[in-house]
Amino acid sequence: MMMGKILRVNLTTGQITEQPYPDALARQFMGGAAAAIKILYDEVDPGVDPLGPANKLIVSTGFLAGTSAPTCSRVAFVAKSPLSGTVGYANSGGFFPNELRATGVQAIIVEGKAETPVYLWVSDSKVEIRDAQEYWGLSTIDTQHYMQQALHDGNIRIACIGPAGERLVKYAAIINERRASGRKGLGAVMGAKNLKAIAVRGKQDLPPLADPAAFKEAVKILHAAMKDSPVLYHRFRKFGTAGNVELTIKQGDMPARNFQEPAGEEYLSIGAQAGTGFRTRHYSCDQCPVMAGQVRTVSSGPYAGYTSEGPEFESLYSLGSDMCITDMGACIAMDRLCDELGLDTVSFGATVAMAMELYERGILTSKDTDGLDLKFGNHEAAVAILRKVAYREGIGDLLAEGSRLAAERIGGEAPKYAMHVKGLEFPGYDPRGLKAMGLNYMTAYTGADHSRGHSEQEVFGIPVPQAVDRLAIEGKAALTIFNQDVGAAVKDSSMLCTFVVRLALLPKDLGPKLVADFWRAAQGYDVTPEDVVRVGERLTNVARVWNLRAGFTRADDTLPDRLLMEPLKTGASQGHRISPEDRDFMLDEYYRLHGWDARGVPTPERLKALGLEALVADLPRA
Amino acid sequence: MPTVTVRTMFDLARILGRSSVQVDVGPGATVRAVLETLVAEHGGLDGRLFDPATGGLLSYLFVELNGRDIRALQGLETSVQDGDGLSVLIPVAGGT
Repeated sequence: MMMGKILRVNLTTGQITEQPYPDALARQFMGGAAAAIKILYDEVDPGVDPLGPANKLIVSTGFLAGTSAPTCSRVAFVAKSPLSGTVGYANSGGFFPNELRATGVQAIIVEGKAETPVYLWVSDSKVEIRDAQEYWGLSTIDTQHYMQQALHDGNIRIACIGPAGERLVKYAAIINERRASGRKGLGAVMGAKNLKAIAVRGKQDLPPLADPAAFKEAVKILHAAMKDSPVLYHRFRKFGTAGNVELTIKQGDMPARNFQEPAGEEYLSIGAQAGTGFRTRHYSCDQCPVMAGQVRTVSSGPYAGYTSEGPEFESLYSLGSDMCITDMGACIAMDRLCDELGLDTVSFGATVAMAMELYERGILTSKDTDGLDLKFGNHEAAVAILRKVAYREGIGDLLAEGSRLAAERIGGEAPKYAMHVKGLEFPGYDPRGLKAMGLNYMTAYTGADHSRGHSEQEVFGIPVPQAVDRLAIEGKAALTIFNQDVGAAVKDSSMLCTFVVRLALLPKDLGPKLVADFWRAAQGYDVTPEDVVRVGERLTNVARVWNLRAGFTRADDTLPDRLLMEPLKTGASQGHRISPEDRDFMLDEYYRLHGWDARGVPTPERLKALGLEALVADLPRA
Repeated sequence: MPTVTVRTMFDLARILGRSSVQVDVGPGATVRAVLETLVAEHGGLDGRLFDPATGGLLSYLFVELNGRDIRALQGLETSVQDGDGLSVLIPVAGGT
């Protein structure tokens, strides 16, 4: 067993304990997010207040973290989401994950609530809960800087929250270096626990691999697949994720104006080619030779002086087209401010886009917006709102609740314009022209989350398992299950970088096979690619049952009325929507192929076949 | 005579001088005929759409006819109609 230990930290009592990584957990769930979500299932009652002391924050790396396998310095944060009430999961890269693994720790379970602000210090020799009052109120960037300075070590890596997390903004992010575990509001979970940061420094060698020669061979295969990609080291390094702007504009699937229309060519000003004019350097996570991170600097205009590692594609949608902002400088500035103050760029932009629509429809007036002229395209107002949200001032206090709750509080027709599934705001792909993406949004255990089952065949034309017609609903249930379960196995369990999986492994249908090779060589388990996929299936089912226990039902597996009733008006997906009949057709097939009943409840037989007999007693009664 | 609007991006659009061009083809023409006509009319595209070894599209491109991936239709041999839109797409953060 080469897995590190699990730390359990109770902030209420101050007790810290260690335990060896359970072999059953490693065998059934591999590690990473899958194992963390199983821990959530076992230890957190789905009915808890997500911002109360009974919620737990689980920090979990994959078994490949810290090894010679490239692009595996990734970490999962898991808790009950205060934004959606579902399983909450976000991940990031950078250097923090490999540093944590080098302390000998594989995962941390944070329980309870500290009386005053604290941070967790994890090093080779000690684990301590330390006073953090001197850091409370600082931005994420200053927190990291001054904590490293106080600890006399610039190589300490820190995951922390900013003012937004301290104020329990429902979509507060956790930031390590400049990487964000942005979505689902897990920064607010840290804030609710009075946990400002987790600081790590390790110099330990990893436990021995079961078969070092086989592991080395798997590393070689991964490097070869990366090199063989015609895109990864060429276009992706050059443009990063911003390249999706040009692509989705052509497909008519980049949302604009709070999903009232698809983004047109006027938004090429925030695309990848325009972005190269702002790029000042590249960035990479630890042990990543690709260096696709784009550091962009604004050198003129009202936002001159702002530098950000990004914005990534999803942020160019949320901070750009969704609010009808075409100024790249404004997008860079807001991206930077979200990272500094600890906000999720996607939920922030989408929530403000909703507020802009409500303002233009007269549902909100300037009295509600603290005098701000909150019309679409007003980037000065958006920047002002950003600060108000992070500090919960004025209208910011309302919008800090996220689109669903804010719209409910505004009342009247407002909820019609909140674009979310299960409370999680949409990322940058309009599902009306991407039907499998739509089904994924409806069924993903975290809400409208592209990362749980990205329809890479529809968006990027990857013909694996087969080429698909993105506008058709037929066959999309099987495709979505493939994307969710294989993705959960290959990305959310081993914690390989999603872009390497997509660009280098998926086109060759190599993901499960290579992860099986790594898993076998690292742990000594006799596993096949099918066993790897089985891990993803377990994750999907465990998360589903937990959400059912939390009260979610088939009725929550849906889309906002706008996407069901209003066809896209322009662009290459013009005329398309996902009608209620389309939704029901895809859902019925999705449940059936999963081995779930018509309510979307896993059958006892299905759970038993996955080795999840213990969950049967938790199933809701028919 | 059918006219097809071809839309593209990045270096292909730069070569064309714009992101959208009209291509006239004969009756019964296919996607292949549209793209071959495009290459014939814009010499800079030579070698940037088709793989000379296979005669198929370069591996990192994909093509949509009216929003539909041609591989889910009849590929390059899919027939085109007057007024059709053909998108030659270059995925950056995904794709082959």
